[in-house]
Amino acid sequence: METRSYDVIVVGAGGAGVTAAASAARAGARVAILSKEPVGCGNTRIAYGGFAGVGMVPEDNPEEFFRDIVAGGEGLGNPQLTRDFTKDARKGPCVAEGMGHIFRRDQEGDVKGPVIGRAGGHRFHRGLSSPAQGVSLGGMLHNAAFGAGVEILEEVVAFRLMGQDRVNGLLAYTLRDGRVLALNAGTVVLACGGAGWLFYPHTDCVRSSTGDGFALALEAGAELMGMEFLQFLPFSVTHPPSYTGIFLGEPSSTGPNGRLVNGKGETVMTNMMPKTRSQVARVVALEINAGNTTPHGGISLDVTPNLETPQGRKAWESMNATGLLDQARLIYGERAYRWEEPWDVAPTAHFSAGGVRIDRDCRSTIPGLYAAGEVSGGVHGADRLGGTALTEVFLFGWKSGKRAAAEAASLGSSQVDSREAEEQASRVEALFGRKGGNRPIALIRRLQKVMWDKVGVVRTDEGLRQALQEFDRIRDGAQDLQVRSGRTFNTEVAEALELEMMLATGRAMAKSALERQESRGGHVRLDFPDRDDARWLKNIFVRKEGDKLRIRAEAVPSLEALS
Amino acid sequence: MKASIKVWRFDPDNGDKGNLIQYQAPYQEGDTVLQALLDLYEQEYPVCFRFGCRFKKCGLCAVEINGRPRLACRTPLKDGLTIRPLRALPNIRDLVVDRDPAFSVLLPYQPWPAIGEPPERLPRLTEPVEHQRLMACNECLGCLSTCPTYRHDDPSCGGPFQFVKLAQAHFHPLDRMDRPAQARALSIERCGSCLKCRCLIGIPIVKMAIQPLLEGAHQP
Ligand SMILES: Cc1cc2nc3c(=O)[nH]c(=O)nc-3n(C[C@H](O)[C@H](O)[C@H](O)COP(=O)(O)OP(=O)(O)OC[C@H]3O[C@@H](n4cnc5c(N)ncnc54)[C@H](O)[C@@H]3O)c2cc1C
Repeated sequence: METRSYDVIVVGAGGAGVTAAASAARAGARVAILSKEPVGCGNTRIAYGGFAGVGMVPEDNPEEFFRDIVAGGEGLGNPQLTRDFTKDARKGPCVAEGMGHIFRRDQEGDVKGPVIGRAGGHRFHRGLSSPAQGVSLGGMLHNAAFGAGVEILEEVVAFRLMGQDRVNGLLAYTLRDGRVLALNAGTVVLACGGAGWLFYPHTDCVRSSTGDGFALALEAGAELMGMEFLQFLPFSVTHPPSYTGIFLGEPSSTGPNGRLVNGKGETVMTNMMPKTRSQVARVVALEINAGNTTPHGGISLDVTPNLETPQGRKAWESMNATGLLDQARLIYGERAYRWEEPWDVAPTAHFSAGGVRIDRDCRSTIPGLYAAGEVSGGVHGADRLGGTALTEVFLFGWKSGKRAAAEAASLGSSQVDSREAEEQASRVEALFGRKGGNRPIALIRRLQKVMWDKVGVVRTDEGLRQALQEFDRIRDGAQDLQVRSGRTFNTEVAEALELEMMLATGRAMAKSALERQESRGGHVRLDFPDRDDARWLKNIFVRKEGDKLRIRAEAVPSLEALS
Repeated sequence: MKASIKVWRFDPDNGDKGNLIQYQAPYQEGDTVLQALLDLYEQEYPVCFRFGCRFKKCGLCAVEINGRPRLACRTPLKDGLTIRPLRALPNIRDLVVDRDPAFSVLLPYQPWPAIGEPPERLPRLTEPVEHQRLMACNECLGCLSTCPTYRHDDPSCGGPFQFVKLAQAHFHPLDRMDRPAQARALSIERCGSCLKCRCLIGIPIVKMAIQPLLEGAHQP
């Protein structure tokens, strides 16, 4: 088996991964960066490109920002991480510009005044924007990866972290030629993004977001937190099927006079702009769940009243100028684009708010393993405010790379266990040309269906248990795979590996959701419809022990206790 | 309903030369070509193609549809379509092409600003409108298939994609390299009388990349 050695391996080449790789390389480490797609894709490339800064208006400061995140995350962020994030939020955009990005400037060339936006849940204007949206971040990241002097391994799937008491490398499958590589590393940074694709087609996320990072971390023994908190955006496309789930907007995109109207013609929500994503998504989801839908299975976001007020018309203009209406125009047509007719909308899986538990230096609970970006958990809590993901991605990406490089420099050489590597490689080898009864894609679609139906926007004890049973059946089905042979671009072998990881991640999500007997943020339980601060101002942690997932709940630490 | 489409199949592991196969793809109102490929994949034919976001941002699903490069996610499905890989790049399997040559030819020219420590604050600067427009490039590489002279195996021959990348750097306010000279090393002169290249998502390549680099080429 081909074996290579590095100081730092970064898994993932979206914003967090490329930033981590660049900063680790700057610190002198030999770095490899891995990605399932070409470099610079991930959800970073398809993002709208908004970053939350802080202190851009005189009344705002890190303390105020901290309060907004705590309110938006409904008290479940780790206060220390949230504090670090808000204190340094100003620097996140600086990291991106240091790598070649350019944020929108005003006439004088400054980032201030009218170019600063405000997403739902922020009390002050904090939003920097990118003239060519996330696509420009993607192109910049691709360039930066080349410029960073790191080894780029594209179109490979990391499927197992190696090491006993500390992570010392990993195994990866190459799509290009169907091999397994053993990669030694002093430290590994997970930057694999989130789990939106577990809900396909009800997601606006990219195909690679299969939650691999959560599964890799679990399998290595690391702890995850907040896995019950998947953020659903309230507004996505309901039809045609090709575009189901595609991003249409968040609360701030409804204009001051937008209203939600259910299938019976009843107005169910107004004044949405200041609300958080979860507050609005919940209303949409409950209406749909109650069957009060439009013929397309969504409900109606009536944006038309905005045209009758000056503020409403202004809201349209500013959305139009920043490209936030592109999707509506291209999918729903000119009249929808101009707000002359209502939009058919439904929630969509958007962001994994929980993830790998990290400390202030992005270290997981397992030595040698770091995490940054969407795959990590702790900064946000039960929901996330707009623009904070990308700021976190660049801020923590840069920090994790530096720390991972420093730790790797203090170590001798690392070597993955060759017997275990060989065993794993022959397991992959056995997939080629296997003649069983189930194609991986069929099992993946089953998993996605049960995730959306039972672990989606509204959940119940019964449904979550049914989901866990269905996961068992899918796992059993995966014992009998049908996979085509052939080395070149064998996507079915990749899917078989992804399926295992999706199952592990789905299970962690469902178990955490079952544990939390209340509704809060992105987690809505029909059987426990209220937020219950007396019992549930707690974080839920999940870890693998033997073959079992161990769940525990722990009170959110207070800042005083931490400092 | 069904749509009858032809899809290029090529399996290098079988010593195969590749051919077009006719399929009946399920059809629903509003379907895209990408949806048809996904449906075929799920049903029984593991045809290989790249995709990512389903809505024109990731740039991964560029293929040739009836002889023209298009994003599969933005092309309506119709009866009688023929779907092939991008002709400008080596075919790896089915609709998948080797993207590497499009990037590796650029590496000697380093079309990116140097990465330093992040600045303490965002500097005052003006981003040229060209830079804004050019950064919308989703790197789908479809433009290369509209260029009559691009050759992926000739390191002295750039195509529209490479000139877009050089022009991105050229218009970055902090870039200091002589990008027009680099464009000359990639034989941009041959573009002067051609200008046939097209961007799949509407970036004015000629006006914002080729012409500025060509004109820059005449400066001392
Ligand atoms: C439509 C949309 C719009 C958004 N808009 C905004 C916005 O405007 N502002 C904001 O703050 N946030 C936004 N977000 C959220 C934000 O974009 C993401 O949270 C962020 O980009 C995640 O970055 P990341 O680097 O952590 O992961 P990603 O950018 O998703 O990258 C993940 C990387 O990991 C790789 N990977 C995954 N698994 C493996 C594996 N097993 N082996 C190897 N590689 C692997 C992938 O190939 C990819 O390279 C948006 C999200 C979506 C979906």
